[in-house]
Amino acid sequence: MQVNVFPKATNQIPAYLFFFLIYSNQVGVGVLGFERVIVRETGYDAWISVILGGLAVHLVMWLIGRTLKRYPSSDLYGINHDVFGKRIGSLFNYGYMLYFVLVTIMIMRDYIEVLQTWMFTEITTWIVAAIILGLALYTILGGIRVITGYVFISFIMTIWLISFLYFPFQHARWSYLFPVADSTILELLEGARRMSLSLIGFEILYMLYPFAQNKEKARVFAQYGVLFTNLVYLILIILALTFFSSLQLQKTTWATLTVQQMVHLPFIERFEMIIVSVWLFVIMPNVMLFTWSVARGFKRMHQWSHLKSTLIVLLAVFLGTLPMITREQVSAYTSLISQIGFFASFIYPIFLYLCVVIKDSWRRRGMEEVPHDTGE
Amino acid sequence: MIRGNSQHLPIRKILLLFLSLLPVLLISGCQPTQVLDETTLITGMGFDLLDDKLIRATVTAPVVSSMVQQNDQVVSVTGTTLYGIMNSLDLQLDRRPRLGQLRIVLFSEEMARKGIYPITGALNLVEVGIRPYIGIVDGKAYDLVNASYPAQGNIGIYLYNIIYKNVRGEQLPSPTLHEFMRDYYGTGSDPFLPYIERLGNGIKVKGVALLKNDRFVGWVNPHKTFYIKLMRDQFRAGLFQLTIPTKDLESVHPNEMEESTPIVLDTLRSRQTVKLISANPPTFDVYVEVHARLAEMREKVNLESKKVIRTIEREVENKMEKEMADLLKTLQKMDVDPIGFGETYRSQSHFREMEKEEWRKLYRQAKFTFRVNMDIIRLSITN
Repeated sequence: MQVNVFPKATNQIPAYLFFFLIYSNQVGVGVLGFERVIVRETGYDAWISVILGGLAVHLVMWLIGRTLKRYPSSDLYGINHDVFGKRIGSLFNYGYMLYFVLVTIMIMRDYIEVLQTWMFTEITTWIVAAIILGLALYTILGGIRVITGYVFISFIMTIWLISFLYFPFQHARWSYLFPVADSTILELLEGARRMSLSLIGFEILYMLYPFAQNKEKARVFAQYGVLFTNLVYLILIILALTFFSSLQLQKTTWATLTVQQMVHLPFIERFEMIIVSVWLFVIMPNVMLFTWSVARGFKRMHQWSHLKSTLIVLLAVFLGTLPMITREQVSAYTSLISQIGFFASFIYPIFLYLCVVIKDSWRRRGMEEVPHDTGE
Repeated sequence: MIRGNSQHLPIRKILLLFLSLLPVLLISGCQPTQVLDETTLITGMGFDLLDDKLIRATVTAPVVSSMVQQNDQVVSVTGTTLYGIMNSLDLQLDRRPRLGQLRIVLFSEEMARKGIYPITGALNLVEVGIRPYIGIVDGKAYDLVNASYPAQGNIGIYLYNIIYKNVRGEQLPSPTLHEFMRDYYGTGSDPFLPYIERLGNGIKVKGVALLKNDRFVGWVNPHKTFYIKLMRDQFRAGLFQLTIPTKDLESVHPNEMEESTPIVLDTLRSRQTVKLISANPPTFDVYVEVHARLAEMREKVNLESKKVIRTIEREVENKMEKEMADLLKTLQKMDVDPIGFGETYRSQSHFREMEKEEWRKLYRQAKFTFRVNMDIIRLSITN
């Protein structure tokens, strides 16, 4: 397996689009209900946890950038291969691919759960899964440029929803935010850790990096994408905290959707139905980018054709969504993924960075020693 | 990554797009439909307690049909749970009852005394949403919903509009299901809902019903509601009237002067700050700043004079401070905290995880000082 890949110019992505790619891959189904998980830990101080979690993403993102910078044009698969060798590197690669598949299953199943609760109570899981994956198949086969184009459109088509937060903000009670910093540091950190489910997705930079036209700029725009995600989460958590009382929020499963029930326009009585529908645009980039990454892993390691690997991944995701039937199973699976996601997306990049640094210094020493040896 | 995108034939791409969209086309007819002509859109519900457990629900729904004279359908059923009631309704109606357009939920005072959470908690559904208004009825909810209002049309929408208008005009606090639940779950404040009575062919909002958790304990008239709103909300609070002594005012007609005169002020802007001065017993300093327009005054006094205006302002301030203190005594006696002093207490002291019952104990001993700063910044066009 080659460590570095150099995509053709026709397949490269302009750097500024990394803003949309990172943002879209971070914001997914978790944003609909992340509030209550954090509030359970930190009460009215949850917004501090959101900021802490966001800062952690910036830091990890920076480390990912530093890691990638040490290679001319490589992705996670190549780096793993290079750092850990063929056997262990492949093991890590498979692990990461499995993690992406599990995350995709979680996103799909959670969205279907929302759909089943809010709109179509009788719809079966496999039908929705088949539709979503059918659409995903179309764009994934088009390649990364098509996916990026879709991501951009999905951003444009969903960003206007933020303006409708004006309605629920009118019912906010600001005294709920006080007293500030009443929680202990440990509670705040635990709350920030619980954010990991909503924050994961930024590690897609590992996979997309070789495709960037201007790699320096791509890293910067990726940071902007993270910043924007954090801003959206901050607005949403402050809204949820001021809109609900603490105990009420802990009982609200999808606070972001419940908040939107306050929106009423003369021609639309139930705005949250629009949001649930439009949310398909938000989760599609997640599904596409994650499955694309896994398919790419097969292609990189085994030189399988794009069509074959994509079909295998999509079939695995489809089968994965089927066994979960009850809400309990779904939420247990979601919190499991949250745990795994914390290690895979936050701890692993740090670990990999350290390994890359050590490996590099060994290599450098080796290089210094080689002329010395021959000189003897 | 696909190498050589251009090698694909366009026809293959079109086929692929068609195949991926095929499931959408195939299943688009599979969802159970809800045809408007086949549903009863319930706009209002009234709940009465018949005996210990049995609840009578009276629902009203508009009928859209050219065949019938009456435009409203009112049905009353009994049951013990909300879903039991919906099932019984299904047996009485020719069209399926749906709660998606529910505007107002009424509880009789008698039922509210026993607690309304069993119903409001059950109403927390996706179908209902969080926006229906909740109200307490003086008397039986059945009588109010079942009565005909020839000039008003559907009672649900009529009542919704009354409350909506008054909420917008800042006469009433917003009593949505969400706000009720927020105060119910909140540790530092109690819910309050409009108190409604039937008045001949119409409806009147008598005042505000005060609830302790989800139980009705009493009500206050609109005059006192004004003070509750003044101490609780940040915004303008509307018109209010009070009576002030005329002793120090220079009347235009000194001989005809009465001992006191009613005065109407229009609040243009109000701002309140509630400060916790000491934690045990809780002592609050309530400072209210009101910018008002002098709308009406029975006694003709010389409003040109600054001194007279100052005197009016001082008199109004004194009167307001006294009335606010009286109101707080009443509220403390009823053991309810609609203004949310508990919330102030929680947010200004580091008192984590305060239970509602703990706050109630403190609230009974709480002390308050009131300071009002009234500025009459405008007069009406004639003095």
